[in-house]
Formats: sequence, structure tokens, C-alpha cells
Amino acid sequence: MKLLNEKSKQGSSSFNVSLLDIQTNISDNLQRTDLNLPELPEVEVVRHYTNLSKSNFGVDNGPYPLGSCTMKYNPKINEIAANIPEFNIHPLSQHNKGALEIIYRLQEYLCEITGMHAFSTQPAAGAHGESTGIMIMRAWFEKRGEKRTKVIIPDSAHGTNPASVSLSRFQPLQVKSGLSGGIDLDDLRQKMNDNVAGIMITNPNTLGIFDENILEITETVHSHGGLCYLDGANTNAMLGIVKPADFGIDIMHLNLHKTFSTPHGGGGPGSGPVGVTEVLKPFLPNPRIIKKNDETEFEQSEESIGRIHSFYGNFSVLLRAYSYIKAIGSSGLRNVAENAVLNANYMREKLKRHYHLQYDRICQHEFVIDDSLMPNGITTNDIAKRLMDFGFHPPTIYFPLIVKGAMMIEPTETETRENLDAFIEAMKAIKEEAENDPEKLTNAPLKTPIGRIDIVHAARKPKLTWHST
Amino acid sequence: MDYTPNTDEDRESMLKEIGVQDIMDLFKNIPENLILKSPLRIPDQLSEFELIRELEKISKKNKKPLSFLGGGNYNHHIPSTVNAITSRGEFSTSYTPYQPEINQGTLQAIFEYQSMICELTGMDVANASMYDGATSLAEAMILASRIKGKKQVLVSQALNPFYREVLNTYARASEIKIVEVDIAGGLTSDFETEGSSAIIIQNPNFFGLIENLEEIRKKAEDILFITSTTESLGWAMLKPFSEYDVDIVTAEGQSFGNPMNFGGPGLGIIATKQAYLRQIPGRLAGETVDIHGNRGFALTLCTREQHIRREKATSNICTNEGLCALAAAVYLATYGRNLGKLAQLNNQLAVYFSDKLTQIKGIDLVFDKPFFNEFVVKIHKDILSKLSDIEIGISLEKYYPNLEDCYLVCCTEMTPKEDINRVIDEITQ
Repeated sequence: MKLLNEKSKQGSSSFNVSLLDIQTNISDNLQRTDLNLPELPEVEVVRHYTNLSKSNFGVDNGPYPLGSCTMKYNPKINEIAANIPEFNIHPLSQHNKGALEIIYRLQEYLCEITGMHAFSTQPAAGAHGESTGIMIMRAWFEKRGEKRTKVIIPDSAHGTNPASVSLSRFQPLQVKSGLSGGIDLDDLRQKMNDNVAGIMITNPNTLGIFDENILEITETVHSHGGLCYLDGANTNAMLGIVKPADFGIDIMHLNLHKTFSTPHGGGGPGSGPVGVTEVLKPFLPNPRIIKKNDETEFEQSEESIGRIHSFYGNFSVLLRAYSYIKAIGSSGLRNVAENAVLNANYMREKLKRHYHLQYDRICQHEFVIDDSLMPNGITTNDIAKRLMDFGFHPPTIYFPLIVKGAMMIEPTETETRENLDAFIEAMKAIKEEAENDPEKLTNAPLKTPIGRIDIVHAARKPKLTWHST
Repeated sequence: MDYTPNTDEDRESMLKEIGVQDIMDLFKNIPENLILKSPLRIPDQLSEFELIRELEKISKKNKKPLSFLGGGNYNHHIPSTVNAITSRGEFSTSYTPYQPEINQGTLQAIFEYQSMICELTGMDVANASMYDGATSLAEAMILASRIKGKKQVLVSQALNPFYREVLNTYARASEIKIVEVDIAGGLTSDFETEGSSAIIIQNPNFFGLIENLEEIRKKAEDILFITSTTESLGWAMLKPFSEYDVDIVTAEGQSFGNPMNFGGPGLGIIATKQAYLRQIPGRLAGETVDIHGNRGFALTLCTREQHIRREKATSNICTNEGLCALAAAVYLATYGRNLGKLAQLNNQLAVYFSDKLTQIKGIDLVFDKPFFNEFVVKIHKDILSKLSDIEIGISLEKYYPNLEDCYLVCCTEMTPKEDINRVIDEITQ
């Protein structure tokens, strides 16, 4: 499709602006002489983006079993909630009691769901929550006058974990996964010592397995004075079933754009609230939103790590998550976990008859198969591309790193059984094609608006704007 | 509401297929004493109409008086085209475009967004977005330390106080020392570059004033020059940063088609020179071809990023503000060159308001220098009491103790002459 600048015609914009008869205070030498933005009539702007949207695939288009991303249906009521005009106020307005009420109530709900004592909604995304949590860990040890240098991270962790740890000048220390997919306890016990600030774990982990040794893990870390951080990306499987605080978590983040159904927007905005135990509350980002004598207000803490966002986080995302929690209520939250886990196990059981499943056991919200049984050199990438032709978004591929050729499948609770069956059938058909007609896979996708993209070409001589040659 | 479509029969037969009796058999890995015995203490589900009623009731606790607040978040008109596009599920309900063949819409839109940001700033490369203005600046600070290998930065006190707080938070974690640069007459004053990796200033600065970028660049010849902007609409009127040889441009892009929303989500902008391309944090969309040779787009240079490079990544950022960047792209495409006129109108209204205000006895313009659409006035307490139902500006005393009774006033196209005249009438009556 043509680019905006290729369609541009000077003077064609519909958006004229009438100026006043007032002299500017800015001298000519400070002003720009040209502004080369593309210019199109309004109808062409709308058509440009409408046509672009037609070459895009969202949850609204079809099933999106992208593991660890929890691409569940995003209820439309959330959008109505986020667009209530009275909520669109300036962040420094004094007339903010409605907005503060939403944030405060959401914090309370998140505390109840996770068992943590306090939440800050400032982090704008999961990784932002991670770096906030690690800063809290750092501040905790600073206050105690301890200089700890390492944070333990399992080899199955999301890439953001080690990156967040190094932002706070800790060194990541990798622990192995055991044969059953959980953390290798012996390796952990060997590596945990008084120089380790804590552990960053994902539970259920990226294999979709709830670590049955979770209490031993957190106990081991605590026994050396360390803190336990939970990457809450996979909270969907725990709603109403188990609370992270009960298994020894000191700090965690939630991804509201995963577990709490706020749309991912083609990359964001998300929201990554951070929750902590009572003793770590003073370290949460400033300002906190609290209630005193039944009135919401801002509170500053001297021990806080400080501010981590221009204002109070992604408020309109918080509104959507609040709307979701209220819409489905207490029993609905548990229903989410039960059905997410049911759907994943159903697919796991059916797909393992055709694909290799390295960790063959009951899973939680997701599971990982791989391409090791594929004939004719067919790879995970080929399977992913071919799935598009069947009307599905591919799973997360080549992650976690501990499974070679991984396909990480998370169906979520909002898919119908018919959709699950259709996905299973597509995977079976692809397996058959791999045997009988492998070129169909290596040339896939065949039905998308564009053929298989050459990503090596993109990186060789990067062209990142329409200006560059 | 209930968004889980499995019926009781579905559940039963699926359990049978899996080979278990009860749904709780799927949670056997969880130590039994951890399984919750009672339901979460969260109210029962609501229907859509009950929920809307409740939300509207809470929303009424907010009030929206006539407001001249700016200082990092701005009340601009959002063209009708913006929501029409960003509300399309194909865009809003998609994930980060890891699979380019079914995400060309998002990818081309990001590529065009990057191009338009480069046009506005004059820089060579811009990324697909960061969280907000403050965090994109913090990332620029860390980037500069990495490039220069020096763990100290200079930060102007004319930078938004909240942004300075965020820089302090990140600097503490990254073991970077911040040296604040004084203000003289509302502008960044002299500084010594020795031992520092960069100077960070805001333009237009927190007081709305246009900094002397040429002078600053001269003084900062051996260190990196980093700018922050909170009112990015000013870019449509002012000379691009490239003309002052700025190294890293960061900004809050909320003014481009994103609502105030109590401060979030914002749109973090970061743009830099080609030389620092491989140091930039976050996603980049690049042009490429498909197997038939057709033009297409994909995320590129991913070896900078956390999912490949892990602890050695240029940043830990993963999720960004994609839909806000899309809103900005639609916004910029809708206005085209007329964005320059919109910027001029904002400036004219601010000039008009400051002239009218300072004709009143008891109100003074604090910094008599060129500004874009924000300016600082000192208002006598007696006058202020007449403005109880108007948000005249951000009180500065809390952040600058010597600016007692001073307010940062902002005008946009949403505060037309009639509103300004109303304020003047209320004061002079």
C-alpha cells in the first residue's frame, strides 16, 4: 500500500485553522520555515488507515493463542468506560475525586486478588513494573545497609526479567529448570546466599507449569534474607484459586493488558501495577493514592524509590481494568482461571498426539509444544506462517528458550470450544501437509495481504523513515 | 457479565477428554493448603447498564471547570478522525507486531509515525514509542551515560519538576549522578561540562519559555545535548532540533491526538542521530520486502532488545504506547501542514491572555521572554480569590519556593478569546 507521503498533495488538508490578528512574540530566527508533513483530505486519511487496518489481525478478527500474552477478548464495555467525558481531566486538577476513587478501588481489588498489601498503579507496562519492583528491592537493601549484587532468574524467564535487573545494576544469576519444568531446587540452594538480593520468578512459569515446589523456593530465598519477586504475566490461571502472597511473594506486578482484558493496542498502552507486602509499602513510587477519613488523597513517602511516571500511570487503562473486574465480579474471576486452564489442557491433550510435548503433564493457562517431530525439515516458523492461512494468529514461537523450536500456546478462556477444535484441526492439517506437501509450508503464508517477509533484508540496511534511502 | 463461553456440557466433556474428573484436578500442582477456601471479596458481577450507572456516578465526583492547566499535559481538540481509526478492533486488539504478514497495518502506521516524528524534530531516527515524556527522557539519560562512559549528567532546573523526580529515580537505580543547572531569568544558566556525559534541558521549558539552544550547544560542545519537550505542538512552529545539533530528542506526545485522561497513557517520543541508531531503546519498524519482492514492513534491529539480548539489552522496554502513537500519526496526517497554523493560534491566544492579564494591577509577567503557549504570572492573593471557579494555572511555589504566588498559565485552541475575556471580566469586575 502507498505511504502517506506518496499520497500527499499540498493544500489538500481538510483541517484549516483560522488565525487571530495578534502578533507573535517569537522572532523569525526561532521559527521553522517549512513543515513537510503529508497532506491529505480527511476522506483520504480515513481511507488510508481503514485500508491499513484491513491488513491487521486482532483478537476481534480471530483466535490469538499467543502464549504468555493472554490475548483474551477485550469487552467493548471497557471502551465505553474509558471514554466517559468526566474522567478526561487534567492530572493536576484539584477536582479529581472521581479519578482518585477509581484508582483507589482498583488498588483494593488487586490487593484482594493477589493477597498483597498495597499496589501502585504508576508502572505503564509489565517491564516498567519489573524495573519498579527491582528498584524497591534495591532500596530495601540500601536501607538495611546491605550491598547485595545478584538476582536469581530461572532459565525459562521472559527476556524483560534480566533486562530489568540490570537496569538497577544487579547481575542476573541463572538457575536451571528441572526435568519436570519447575526450578531445579538443588541448583537454587547452591546459588542462593547472602550476596543475592532475591529471585525473580514467573509462576505459573512460561511452560505453563505451576511450580509445585513454590513454597520451598520462596523459603530458600527468605532464609538468606532475600526477597521474592513474581512476574505476574501469568496471573490469569490463578484468579480466585490461589494468592501469590500466600506462597511467599514479596513484590509482584500484574499486566492489566493481559489478565484484566484491556486491549493491547498493537503494542500498548498497557499497565503494570506493582504490589508489595506491608513492610515494603513505604518504598512504592511517589505519590501513592490512599484513603484517609473516607477521603482519597495523595501521600508521599520519604523512603519511596521516587516517581516513575510523569503522572499516575495509564489511567484510562486502569479504568478499563476496573470496568472488567466489576463486570465479571468475584465468581467471574474464578471462572476465568478455571476455563483458561481447562481450554489449555484440552488443547494440550489433543495436540500432543501430533506434536512433541517436552513437558507432558497437566498445565495451567498455556503449554509448549515443538517442531522436533516435523518431517521434511519443517520448522516452527513454517507452522506459524501457515496457521495464518487457517485464520489464526500463531502462538508465541521460539520461546521459552529451554525448549528448542518452541510453540507456546495460550488459548485463553474466551475462546469457544468450536474455535479450539478448529485450531486443533488446523494443526493436524499442517502436520499432514508437512509430510505430503512441505512446500506449502515453506512458502506460507499464502492467503495474507503480503507474502512471507524478509526480516534479514530489513536489518541489513535499515530503512526506518520515508526520508532515508 | 460473563465472557467465558464454555457451557456446562462443554466443560464436562472436555474434562473427560483430558482424563480427569473435576476441574480442580487441573490445579493439583498447587500445594493444597494454598488453594483458596472462600470466594474473593469482590462484589458480584454487574450487567452493562448497572456498570455504566456506577461508573457515571463515580465520574461525577470529578469537575471540569474552565482550566488553563498545562505543564506536561494539554487540553487539545482531538479530530474526529482519530477515534474513528484507533477504535478499530484490527488495530486496538492486536499485539505487538511480531508476525509481520498479518500486522502490516500496525507496522506501516508505525513506520509513517517514525517518519513524521523525524520530520518534526529533524532527527534521523525515531522509535515506535516509549511510555511517556518522563521515562523516554530517563532512557535518554541512561543511553548518554552508555555512549560517553561517564556516570554524571547535567539537568536544567527549568525541566518539569516531575520529570526531574523521575530522572532522580532512574539515576539512583543506574548509579548516575545528577548535577542540577541553575536558572537565570527563567532560562537554563551556565554550566561546566567536565565529568558529565550530557546536558538535559526542556524546550519550550517548564515555564513555557524558548531556551537559547544555540548557546547551550556551544557550551556543551564536548558532551551530548538532550532535549525534552512536554508541549510537542510547539514543534510545528519552532525550528527543528537538528538545526541546533541536538543529539537526542525526547518528548511527551500526548498533545498529538491523545486525551488528558488524568495523565495517562502518554506518548513517549525518542529520536536521535543515525550514529546512535543501535543504542536506541524500544521497537523500530523498518521497510523490507516479501518473498515476491513487494514492499512490506517488519520490526527490525531486534538484537538491541530484551527478548534477544536479555541483560545486555539497550532497555527493558517491551510493551510501549502503540495505540497512542497511532493516534498521533492520524492526528498529524489529519492536520498536515495546517498543524503549523494550529501552533500559531495557540501562541496567539497565550500572547493575548498574557497581555490582558498583565494590564491588570496586581498581576505581573514573571519572565518577559518569548514563550510558546505557556507563561508565568504572579497574581496578588486578593485577585486569586475572585477566580475560585477557574483553574487559572499550576501553582509554582511548591516546586520553586522563590516563585511565590506564581502560576504557570497555558492556552490552547480549547481556551478561545471568549474564555479569556470571561476571566479578565471576572477579575476586573
